[in-house]
Amino acid sequence: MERDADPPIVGIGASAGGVKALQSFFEALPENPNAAFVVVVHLDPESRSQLPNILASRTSMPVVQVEQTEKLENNHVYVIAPNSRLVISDHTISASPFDEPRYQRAPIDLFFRSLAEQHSDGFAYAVVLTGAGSDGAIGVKAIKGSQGIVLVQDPNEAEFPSMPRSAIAAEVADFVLPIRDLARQLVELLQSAKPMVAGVDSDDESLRRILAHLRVRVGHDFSLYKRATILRRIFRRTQVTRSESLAAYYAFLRENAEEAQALFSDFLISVTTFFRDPAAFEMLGQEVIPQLLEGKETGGSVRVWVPGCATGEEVYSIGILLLEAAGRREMRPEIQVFGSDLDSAALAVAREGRYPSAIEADVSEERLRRFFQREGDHYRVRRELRDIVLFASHSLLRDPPFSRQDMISCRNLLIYLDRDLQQQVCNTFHYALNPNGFLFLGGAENADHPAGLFRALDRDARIYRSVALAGERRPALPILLGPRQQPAGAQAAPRLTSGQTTADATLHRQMLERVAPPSMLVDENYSAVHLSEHAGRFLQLSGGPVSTEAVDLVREELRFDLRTALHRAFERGEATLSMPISVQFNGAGHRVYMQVKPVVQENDPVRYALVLFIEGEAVENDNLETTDRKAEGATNQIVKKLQEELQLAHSRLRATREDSEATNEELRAANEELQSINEEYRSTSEELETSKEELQSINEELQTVNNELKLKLESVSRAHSDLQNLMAATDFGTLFLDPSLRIKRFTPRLMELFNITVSDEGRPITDFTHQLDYDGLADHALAVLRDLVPVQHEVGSRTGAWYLVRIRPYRTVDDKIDGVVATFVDITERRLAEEALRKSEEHLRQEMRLVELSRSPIFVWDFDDGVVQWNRGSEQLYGYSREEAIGKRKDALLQTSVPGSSFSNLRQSLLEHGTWSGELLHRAKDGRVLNVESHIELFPVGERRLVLESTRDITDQKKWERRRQLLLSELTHRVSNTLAVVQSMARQTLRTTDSPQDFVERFEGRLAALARSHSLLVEADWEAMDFRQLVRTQLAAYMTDNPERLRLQGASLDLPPDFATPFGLVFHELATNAAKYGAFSVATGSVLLSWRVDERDGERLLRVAWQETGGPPVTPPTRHGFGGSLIERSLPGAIVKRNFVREGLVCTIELQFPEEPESGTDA
Amino acid sequence: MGRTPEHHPLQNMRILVADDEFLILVVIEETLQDAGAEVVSAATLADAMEAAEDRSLSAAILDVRLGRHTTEAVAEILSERSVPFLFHSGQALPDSIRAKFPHARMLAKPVKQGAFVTAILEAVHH
Repeated sequence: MERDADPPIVGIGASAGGVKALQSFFEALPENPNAAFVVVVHLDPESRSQLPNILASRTSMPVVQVEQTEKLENNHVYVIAPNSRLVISDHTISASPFDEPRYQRAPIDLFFRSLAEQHSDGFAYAVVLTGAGSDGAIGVKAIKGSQGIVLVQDPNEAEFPSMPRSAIAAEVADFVLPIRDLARQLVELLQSAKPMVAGVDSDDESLRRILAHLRVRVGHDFSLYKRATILRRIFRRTQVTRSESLAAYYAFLRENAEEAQALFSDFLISVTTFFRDPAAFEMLGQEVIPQLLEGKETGGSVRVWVPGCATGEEVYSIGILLLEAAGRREMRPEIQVFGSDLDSAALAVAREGRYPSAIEADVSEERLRRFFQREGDHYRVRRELRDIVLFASHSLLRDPPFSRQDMISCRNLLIYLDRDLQQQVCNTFHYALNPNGFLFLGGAENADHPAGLFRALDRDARIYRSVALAGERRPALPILLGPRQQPAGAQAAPRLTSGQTTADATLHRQMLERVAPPSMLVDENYSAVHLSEHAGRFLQLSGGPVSTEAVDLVREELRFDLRTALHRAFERGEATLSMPISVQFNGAGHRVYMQVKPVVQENDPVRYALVLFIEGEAVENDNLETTDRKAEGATNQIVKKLQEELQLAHSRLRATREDSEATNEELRAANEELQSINEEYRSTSEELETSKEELQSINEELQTVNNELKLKLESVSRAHSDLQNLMAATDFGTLFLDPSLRIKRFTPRLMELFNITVSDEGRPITDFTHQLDYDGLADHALAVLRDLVPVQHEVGSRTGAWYLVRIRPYRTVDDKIDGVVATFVDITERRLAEEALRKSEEHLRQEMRLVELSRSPIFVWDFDDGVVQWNRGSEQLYGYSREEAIGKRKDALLQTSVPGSSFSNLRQSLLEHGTWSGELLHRAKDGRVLNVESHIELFPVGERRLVLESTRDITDQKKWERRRQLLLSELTHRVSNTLAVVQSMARQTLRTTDSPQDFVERFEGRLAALARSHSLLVEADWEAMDFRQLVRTQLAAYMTDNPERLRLQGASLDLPPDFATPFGLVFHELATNAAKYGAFSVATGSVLLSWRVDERDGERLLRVAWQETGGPPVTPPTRHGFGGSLIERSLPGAIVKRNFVREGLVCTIELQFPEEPESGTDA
Repeated sequence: MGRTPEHHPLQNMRILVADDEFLILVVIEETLQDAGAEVVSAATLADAMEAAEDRSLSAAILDVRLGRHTTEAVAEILSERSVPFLFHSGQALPDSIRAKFPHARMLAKPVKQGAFVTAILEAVHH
């Protein structure tokens, strides 16, 4: 059988979440489900797919990844390969690379469409599983259009419900089930598919009943639709309802009221896409559309009708072509495209104008951009296009057509109708079109019958032009199928009897015609409707108006008998054979018999009567007379005959009288009736007159109302578009809930927070999970509804973001509460900023505290005003309290002066550089001038310019600095001086000694004396020293156990430091000389050193005396040596005298020095 | 003794030496005398002032400090009288003196023996 070679094909489309769904699906299938499965999923084009391996572990069927071309075999699974599209053709499936850019690919739609084209026999199954996007939505329509069955996973179960939802939205899903039930259902469908095929065609009776039932239920008669199509579609339903036969299905149909609607919908399925059959549309756009616009100046209108428009794609396609052409011509005639269809569900889709994004495959990118706007997974037709299109529920067969059309596009509708109906529809089209209007048909249709109405313009594209009929401005409305379809039924009957026997019947009729007596067919109005060939012999037209009245047509002699006979025939249904009537044919008399027979049809009352003229023997008038005369014996016979005739005449007369009376009666009644009717007409006419006026005024009113409504509609649609834009523009989620907390509307941002999609409108918000740490939404919303007081909360989300949730009552324009509005504003940044601010404030507070407590003076002053801040350190340093300082100008308060510059220069520098550092002089409250090191910064705070100044008191440091400098300079001076002294001492000692031995001894002695004086000076801190101490130190070597040896005599005396060294040297020389030549050279010698200070004239005079006694006799030295010079001249300004008295040397020194010795360092 | 100008470069010069340190004064005296000069010594400011008035002075060597005073006043007199002089000091010249006598020469202590003579000659011939 062919079935084995060509198994049913199940196309399965899935996307996101699909691997899991496919696994469950194949697990649920039995061993040999008896079909070939093709799995189409969206795969990453870059990487290899593991799907075949995954599926192979779930099913016993072989799983093949389609790389190139595979033969389709029963119980096999074929899986799409990455980066390819699958196409089915002639028992094979093949993969080919994509033409479209990646984002436009819709492999599921592509495959379903190819499957639908190849398997229009009803053995195609489409299964749509979980996935994001809308791929598959267009494909399932194609499948359904080719009698396939569409199964869709329950969106509530699907991990990603968008793809199943889109498929359901296409309104062609036969089953919507959870995945396991889906698999089971599919298996049942596959099993029940087989036996039905054979049984279907034969059962005419059931078919007739089904159609009759449908006619009653939905008011549409499909009996003249193509039988094959009708059967296929019914067969599909039998499969879906799992009926065993047509009879069983009929039973099912009778029991399930909805099934009639379902079957009706199936009958109406039409597969339509945008620009279906692109070549034909191309042709249309190039050849026809420009001609439509030709000559339509602005103000003229172009009218196009698309009967059977289904979901509107064809209408919009033509609208697009028209708009494009109009745009090119830069003119704008009024364009009106009518779309009509029986199926109101399909029309709803068309009116909505919202199509799945898979239409990208059919509509060019440029057209998408111009005529559509993207709404998530869908495209919506833009206003410009939507406005020129009008949809109406309308039956092409039953309702009067739209008229005065410039073009009719009716693609793939005629193919469903049988030939007669097709001709009628063509007539309708011809009527509806303007002369020379265009007709655009589908690929398998033509408008050649009835001939003469249309001529082909392009036979390939199926474009025809209406032919204007000569003479008639507008043809009469062709016969339409009345609601009761009676004429069609009446027509059908004779057609059924005519068949193969036509030729014999014709022959028979001809023979009868030739042999039978001439006859005439008369209708119930006594009009002759038909004459046989030789009936003319019995007719004779009388003068006056031409009448078809049978009685007026026949020869005079026959008229009376005919009238009577016809009366009998129509009134009583009786046949009459007349007496022979003598008729003169061309002067020759003939006897003629008339037979009148009512034509009896089964149930109908008599409508016709047949009049047969039977011509008897010729009668010669003379002959008759002579015969009468000659045959006396025949007289009696004649009398008898006359009597009979008389009797006959009597009875005729009676009948006629009765007749006449009856007629009179009738006429009277009729007259009365007419009079009353006349009355009625008159009143009706008056009423009509009134009604007309009323109607006119109502019409006026309606027009006004209509205008108003139009304006209102415009403002509503403007408001709607404003609202749309507002909602798109608001960057925060907004949620509208009705009083029972069902979702009314929301903005796209809300989808980030709640797991909802556009199709969830109408469901309770509590059904949805969300990202917020906020369980009180429902309670708060209810509280708002109850109290009508808006609430707001700050709520964290699981992603770490923060939202401000505001719930307020929803007030309609008439101030009714109709739910709540919740807004979710992302305040993450604000929260973070607040947190940061709080931290920095804390930080600042701590720092302020630190500053406040700091011992360093820190204060802030306004560049243009007084002191602003004054810390504790400032109080301590400057002595001004905080209260005293604040508000005073800083330079005035501290009498700031800038060494080497000025305060105004400092201000200028601050303005230029923002900072200034350096030394300043500040005056404290107690008048002290403080030397401070200051760091100043200028920083603007709003309008104000604040200056931050921190100072450090360096007054003491400065003082010490100076002191150090002095000390250093003094040190340098002394060292250099001492070195020079030592240098001179060495030189002079060298000049005055005889031997190196002597030099060393003397020099060392003098150097030691110098050193001792220095030590004393250091001990005394280079201040005044005690004279006695000096002496003791210098002469320590001579202070022995014998106190008489050196006696010191004098009061305590502070010797200025600059005399220490010279005195030291002088005493050293005196002692050295004494040791060599004088008192210390012998044991008995002694020295008295005495001193005294005398005050004279405010000056102090120091007198020192060195008196030697007991030494060897003194002789004055022979030459003035260096030692002597030393003694005499070492003390500047002193008067030194040496008396070489014989008893011993006496040396006196007189020296003036200031009363108050100054500090040595200050000199 | 045949003293030639070569050996007595300061022949016929009368030079004031002011220093309160006897030992230094002695050495300078001897050095200048050896060079043929006549030396007027002063150990106190009073002596130095008095000596500075001497009309026959050729030049002067002044210790910057004499006791508790500086020789600024002496230098002023000399400067007025256009007597060349030079300072002899263990330290840098105080700012006041440096400001007043910007071109004054200075010999830093301790000085090599011959340096006094050379310095005097330079001062005189300048």
